[in-house]
Amino acid sequence: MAAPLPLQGIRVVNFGWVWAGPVVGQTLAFLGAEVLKIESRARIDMTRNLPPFAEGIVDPNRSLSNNACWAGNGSVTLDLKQAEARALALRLIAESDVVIENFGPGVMERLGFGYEALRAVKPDIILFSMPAAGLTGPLEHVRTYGLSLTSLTGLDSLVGYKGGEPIPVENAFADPFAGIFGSFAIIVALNHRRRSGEGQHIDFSQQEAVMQMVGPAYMDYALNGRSGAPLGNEHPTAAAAPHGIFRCRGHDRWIAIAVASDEEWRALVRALGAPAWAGAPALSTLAGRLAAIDELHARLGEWTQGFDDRELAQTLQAAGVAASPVLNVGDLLDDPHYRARGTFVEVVHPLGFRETIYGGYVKMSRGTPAVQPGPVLGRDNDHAFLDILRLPEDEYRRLQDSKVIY
Amino acid sequence: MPPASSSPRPGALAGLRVLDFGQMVSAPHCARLFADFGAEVIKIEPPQGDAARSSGPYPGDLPDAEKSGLFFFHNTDKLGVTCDVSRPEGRALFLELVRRADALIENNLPAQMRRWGIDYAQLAAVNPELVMISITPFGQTGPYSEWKGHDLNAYHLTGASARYCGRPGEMPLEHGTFSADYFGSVTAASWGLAAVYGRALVGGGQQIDVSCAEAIAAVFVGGQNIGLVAQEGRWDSRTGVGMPLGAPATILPCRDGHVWMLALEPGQWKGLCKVMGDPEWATLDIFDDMYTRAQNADVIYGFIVEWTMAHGKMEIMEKCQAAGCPVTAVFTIEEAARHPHLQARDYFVELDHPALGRVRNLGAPFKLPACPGGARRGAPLLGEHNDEVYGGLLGVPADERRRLRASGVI
Repeated sequence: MAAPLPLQGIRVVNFGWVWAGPVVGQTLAFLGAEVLKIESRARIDMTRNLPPFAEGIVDPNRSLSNNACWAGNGSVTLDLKQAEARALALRLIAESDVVIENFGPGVMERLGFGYEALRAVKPDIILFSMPAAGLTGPLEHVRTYGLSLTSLTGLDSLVGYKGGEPIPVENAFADPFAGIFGSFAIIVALNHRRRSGEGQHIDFSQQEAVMQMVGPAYMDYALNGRSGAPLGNEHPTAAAAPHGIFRCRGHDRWIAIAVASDEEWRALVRALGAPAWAGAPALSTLAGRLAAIDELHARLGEWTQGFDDRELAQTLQAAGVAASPVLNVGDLLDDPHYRARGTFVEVVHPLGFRETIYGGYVKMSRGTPAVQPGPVLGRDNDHAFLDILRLPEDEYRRLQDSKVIY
Repeated sequence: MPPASSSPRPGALAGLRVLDFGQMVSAPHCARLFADFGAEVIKIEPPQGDAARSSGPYPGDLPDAEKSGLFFFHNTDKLGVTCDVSRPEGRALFLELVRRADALIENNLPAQMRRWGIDYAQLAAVNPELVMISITPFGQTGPYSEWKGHDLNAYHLTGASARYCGRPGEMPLEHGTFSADYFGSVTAASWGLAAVYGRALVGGGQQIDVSCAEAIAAVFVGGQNIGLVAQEGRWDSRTGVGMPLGAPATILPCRDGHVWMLALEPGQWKGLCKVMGDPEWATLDIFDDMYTRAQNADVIYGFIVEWTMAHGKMEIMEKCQAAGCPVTAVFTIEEAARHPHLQARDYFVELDHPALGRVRNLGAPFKLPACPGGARRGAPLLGEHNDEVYGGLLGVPADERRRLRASGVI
């Protein structure tokens, strides 16, 4: 039998949908919790319908991206529009430790799953809510998408080419960030429950959690009244130069080079072959390099463009310079580092196809995260209704036939 | 300022003692999250201080190791001690602290930790219950584990920038902040705290190995892309537009800045049209749905920008939101910091600091009504709590502490 994982014995009911909520459940599942995601064929989550599909067959159980992003969550199908389904969900909650939801404020109350209702069936329940801007306040009902939520934190105003306008990040960095961060909030609350016996309703505003990421720029505002602007890939607090992305040989090949100390600068100059321009005394200090950073980056880019990105990274690392290739998505699967760490794994899905998902992306010296394929709709129904709730077989069948369990 | 104290503070994590042996952003931020919720966190700095102290922002841009905004933000509510672990006496003090700790959070190169003789095997021998949370750009194992790396190197190794940020043909972009460090920090906080929580269950302490690059490559990039790569051998790259397949969905300029323009679903599009005064052009067939609008992106964005340039960002946001359309203003840092919503939610806290004076800081990252968190005390001065920790906690006599100080160990 596998070594126990730290959250074994914790049961989670997850109403989370799309991306952020499922990642909260997934993180807890990697750590050993049992996670039952509630969903329904009556209203298929949109991310189950995202292409590409396994072997090209369109089916909500075969969305490759969804299966990877949700892996670890179980699936219990309940059509929450029906009163009987809501009653069953409440009975499951009564047997659980944690409830996760990422609806807008008020939705859980309308479903009959407000914190007081949950407390009535499970006094020490931990309810985790992660609305865009929190459960209260003037913006409580603000509508955002995951990829635009960052606009409310100031972060988007910092992304772009130096001197230029903000450039959109083309996917919701905030979703997995808040998803993993949210799992931390839940484990903090589990600690509190262990100490005090109390549950609680966690108000996790994605805006506030993600705004942590603008801390350094925020401090410049707090101390100097400045608001910051896009700086390309320059160091966020001007503590390193050069610090950027430089073109290499081939299509869309680049190298990331960051020089934080004068010692690293001298190492880089040696690797460059000590050209005359790099010997300028002004460049021997960080302040001097920052003052000349545009020219410095231009010079460096002229030099790097003739090299292969991976070879140059090796050369620079050997010389003592922090350099790494800029990978594109197509590089990830075969990258020797990610292969060695087992970052991506191929699993056999219960429907018979093979799919590549990410596995335990954190390594624990005790125990290995349980990696499961993406959940088939209703995968855990038998377990939930027969093992946990102990419904009689005929009752279970009736609820399936009447599409309460659906 | 309330007197520093090593007695447990109220809070969900009260009673936990955590050592922060990190510098700059990732490990210090992770340790601060533990401090936010009541753990006693002792920050162990080399005698010259955390490298963040050498970085701004400083008030008036005047460098001062006690006035770094970068250091302040990541180290509130910690006790601060100095220790030169490269010297035998320093290492011995470090191990005495480890003996009394529940967790150690660090972000040094694995080889460096081995050279100091404080890698996990050595620490576990001293304290088998210790959870050692290691947060590095690349991780403890694998071919890049001994590479030098900073946040920038980790972020661009994930595919995130080449896939999602920047114009095609131009350089891929990070987010203007320490994105990889923060992602690694929250990942480590979650997995690390779980390991502390589950110590009795799993049989003791352990090492939690977090690679900032790997976490992003897996969860942010891999989740939505790796299946396509594995099955069909193809992949997508950045376009410079928020969402290339649907429109409008990107950042657009307006009279006083920028807005995140989003109107994909039919109701949202109708709402936006109404706010724009139902212009004639919006009735063209080519703008019927989000896909055809995206196919005619240049045309539609031209029309919309004509309208946005005549209006302010907050007005656009307010009117669109009221019409059911998820448009938001791209807040500057100041606009975010002064927004009435965050004020109403008490997101900010005032903290006193001997060198910086009163600082208005970001508060707890999330609200736990039963055990509220957030900073109560500013970041420590360099070595501020040497006497309290070495004297009070470890019982090192005063004359011995003087000697250690004189010889530069602390």
